[in-house]
Amino acid sequence: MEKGKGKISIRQVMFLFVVTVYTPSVRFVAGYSAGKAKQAAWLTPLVTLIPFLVLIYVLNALLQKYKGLSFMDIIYDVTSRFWGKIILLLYLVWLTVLLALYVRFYAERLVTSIYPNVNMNLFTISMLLIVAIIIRAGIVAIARMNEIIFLIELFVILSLFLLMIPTIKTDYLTPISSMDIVPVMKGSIGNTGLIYITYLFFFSDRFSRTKEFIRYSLYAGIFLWLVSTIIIITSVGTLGHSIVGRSPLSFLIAVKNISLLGVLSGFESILVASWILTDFILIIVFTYSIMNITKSLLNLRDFKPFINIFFVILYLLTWILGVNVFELQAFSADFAIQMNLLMQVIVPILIFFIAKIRKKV
Amino acid sequence: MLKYIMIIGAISIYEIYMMVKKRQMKDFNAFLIFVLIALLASYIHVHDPFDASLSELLLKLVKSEYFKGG
Amino acid sequence: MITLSKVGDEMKKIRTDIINLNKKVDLPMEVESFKGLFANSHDCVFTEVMINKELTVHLVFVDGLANCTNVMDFILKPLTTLEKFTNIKDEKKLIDVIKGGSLYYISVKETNDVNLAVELLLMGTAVLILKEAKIAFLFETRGFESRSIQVPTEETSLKGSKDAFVETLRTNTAMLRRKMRTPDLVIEELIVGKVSKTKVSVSYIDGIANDQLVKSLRERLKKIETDQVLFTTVIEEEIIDSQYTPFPQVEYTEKPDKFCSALLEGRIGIIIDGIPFTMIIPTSIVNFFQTTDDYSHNYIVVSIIRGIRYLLAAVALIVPAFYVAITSFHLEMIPEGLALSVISTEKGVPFPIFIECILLSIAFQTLIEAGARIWSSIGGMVSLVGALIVGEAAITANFISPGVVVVVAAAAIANYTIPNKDFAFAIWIWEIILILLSSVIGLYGMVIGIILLIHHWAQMEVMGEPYLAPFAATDGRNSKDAIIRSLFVFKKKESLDEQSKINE
Repeated sequence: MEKGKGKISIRQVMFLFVVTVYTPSVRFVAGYSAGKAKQAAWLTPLVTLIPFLVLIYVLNALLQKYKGLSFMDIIYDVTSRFWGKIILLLYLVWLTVLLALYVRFYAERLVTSIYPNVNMNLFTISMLLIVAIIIRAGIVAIARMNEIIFLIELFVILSLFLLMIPTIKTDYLTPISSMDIVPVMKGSIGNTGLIYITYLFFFSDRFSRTKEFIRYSLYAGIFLWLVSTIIIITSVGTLGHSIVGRSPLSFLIAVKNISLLGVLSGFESILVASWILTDFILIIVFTYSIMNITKSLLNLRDFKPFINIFFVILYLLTWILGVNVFELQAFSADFAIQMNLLMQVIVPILIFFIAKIRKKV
Repeated sequence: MLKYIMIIGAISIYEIYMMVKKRQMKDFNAFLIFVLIALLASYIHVHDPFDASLSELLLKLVKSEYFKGG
Repeated sequence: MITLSKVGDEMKKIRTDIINLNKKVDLPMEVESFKGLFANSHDCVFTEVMINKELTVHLVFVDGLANCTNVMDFILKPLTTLEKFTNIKDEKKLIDVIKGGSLYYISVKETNDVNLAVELLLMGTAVLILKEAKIAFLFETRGFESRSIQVPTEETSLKGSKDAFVETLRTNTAMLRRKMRTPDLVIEELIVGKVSKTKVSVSYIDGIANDQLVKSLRERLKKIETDQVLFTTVIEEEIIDSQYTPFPQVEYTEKPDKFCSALLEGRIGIIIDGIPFTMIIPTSIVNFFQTTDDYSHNYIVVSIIRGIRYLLAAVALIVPAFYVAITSFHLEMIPEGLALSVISTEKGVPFPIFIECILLSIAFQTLIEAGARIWSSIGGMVSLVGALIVGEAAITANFISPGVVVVVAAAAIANYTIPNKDFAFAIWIWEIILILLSSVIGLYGMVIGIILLIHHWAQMEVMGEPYLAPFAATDGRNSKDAIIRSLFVFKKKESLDEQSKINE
């Protein structure tokens, strides 16, 4: 039983982190890495561990110094209230755009995978409605839900990996040489852009057992490295880097190739079902972060009255964001990743250095 | 556009009613900002004044390879 | 002095007060007060005991609740035959002699409170009223007929103990004491129910159970405003947090070993007088998948069986909805041969697949209900006629397709493997909800249903304990015994202190 009511433990935070990263990883990482690093794409998650370690060191320093405070309060204290508000406004805008992108991707993915010719509004509106209802239960209930969803996800991904082993061709994953170092570094940007742990810090005032942050962060990092590697190995190893680099849902295509004992197939239905679960977590967690930023930025008493109207804005933004899935993919690869790098890796590091200079940590 | 105005109006009436009921009128001004943003978003979505999507505008800004074709 | 002629309406009013408002009545300690309160009750015995020519006392007891032999042998007989009583001239002396222990009785209480005397009288106590001194002696003469300890009927055990709780509270608490000979076993008692005045016992192990939890439960029980506690739900509905759920939040058991085992885990037990089923709280989802036999068999076998139980619960919940989704919306997802087979079996059936599934699922539940209500001598016939004859005829008549029968029957059998029937029934309700959602938009609808179900569980708490524990919200604590049954060798290492820390 969690002692502090309304708080979530660092272990639960890390589960949230892992699940929120999983969903864009499946969609994006294999294609991006294969495009840049070719057959050596499966090494890119390893490189990502370096910026990840730097980030958790920075976040841990801030978390330990500012116990019981949110990232918003940390920014205010380090940079001053005026600059803090500006930085938070940037975060608010960017996170809203990113969330709109994910809502749109989620709907697009369903339409392209198992619901051809179905109006995307059906999926977008129903998901936003469910999120609008469930988010009111608070982060504690969301974190608990996520723990169960994580178990389901783990079961699905490991089962699929085991089933896909026979389809993996080592020729597609080798040879690896020193020539691959630079492409692997470039390919790792895709993974690095998905380290969403900073976005979870917008409700760090709800964290308990913060002393365990480093330990659980390392577990989460190793887990994500393994999962990302599995996803890339199965995708590139089954289809080859040239196909994976060009196809939007390479992991789904790879799963479609599974045939158990030559009789049972159709495992993609399980994958798609599990995607909806993880997409739900991603959307609800991002919404929760956005609502917390809004609350802090506008000095609100409660963000609940703003949920419905925010979802109207979000829904409209999903359509304003892009005309088709290709445009969204380009936006994701050429803009979103770089922005993510800036907002979730560089900005926290900068804040840490400012805090160091001002002797606040 | 009308359907969006109706949806935004309905949500606004409900939320304002709840704010009055719970005596949380302190947040009313902030709520109005959200309503205005929602109306603006619905206008952009329906009338497309920039003749381009947000992605397109941002990708042009960073000179993405997306527009190079091929 | 109130005489019988004065009683009439006034007494009726007082009686109503006692029943409806649980008010304390202000009556003198005289036999007339009791006669007034029990004017129409023929089981209430009023005996005038003439100790000698100068001294008369009154004895009141309820026939059937008090042990008449004890009343005669240990109260009436000594009072009327022993010299030390027959020589007494006044009540003052009589009081001294009784207090001195001349009546050989273990539990004797002196009172001038009619309320207390009435309360104990209704529990089988004999009340000896001394008219002039206006006091009464209460003798614990309880001795009513009760069922003897028997083999459990609902929770069968292969290797575990075969005793089961009975209706008598004291017998049940004695069973607990026999199994756990420690002074740390606390058995508190409260009276609940304005009319029934039922004894409710709260049992826990001091030092292991969370003090806050015990306090909270005690307060909740004290707050209960009810006329009777003839059914467990009267208590259950008052102590649970989430009212709007089909899922059980209290674990019931008729087995003392299971009850004691729960107490050792730091949980709290409730025993209600008159009900042979005891309650255990707090509970979480994991408790509904465990049986006492789990601890009587090899841990590897049990761990596998437990894992299968969870898997089968998932099968019971999801498979019919998945079948509806795949066959109605995503036929392309299944192998060609299977898809053709499904289509061919559906030929000629007039209903959509989801209607077939729901109807058949309800039919299975009907069989269970009929089996539970019907006389045991013909119970077997229900399943024979229902499942074999009607089922076969329905397929032949093209009312339902064989594919649906296979899927729904598999789900139903999987559902029966859930050890807790309340939980199994709740899973069945959600199975229907998932089928309905799948019928609207296929796999997506099913997953939305699963999200709603997980949310429902995530929100639930029982006395502050998350319903999803230890799978969620416990940071992995207490998860050792969730699916994989840990060895007792390892369990021993957890001292009571460590256990109490965990519970805090």
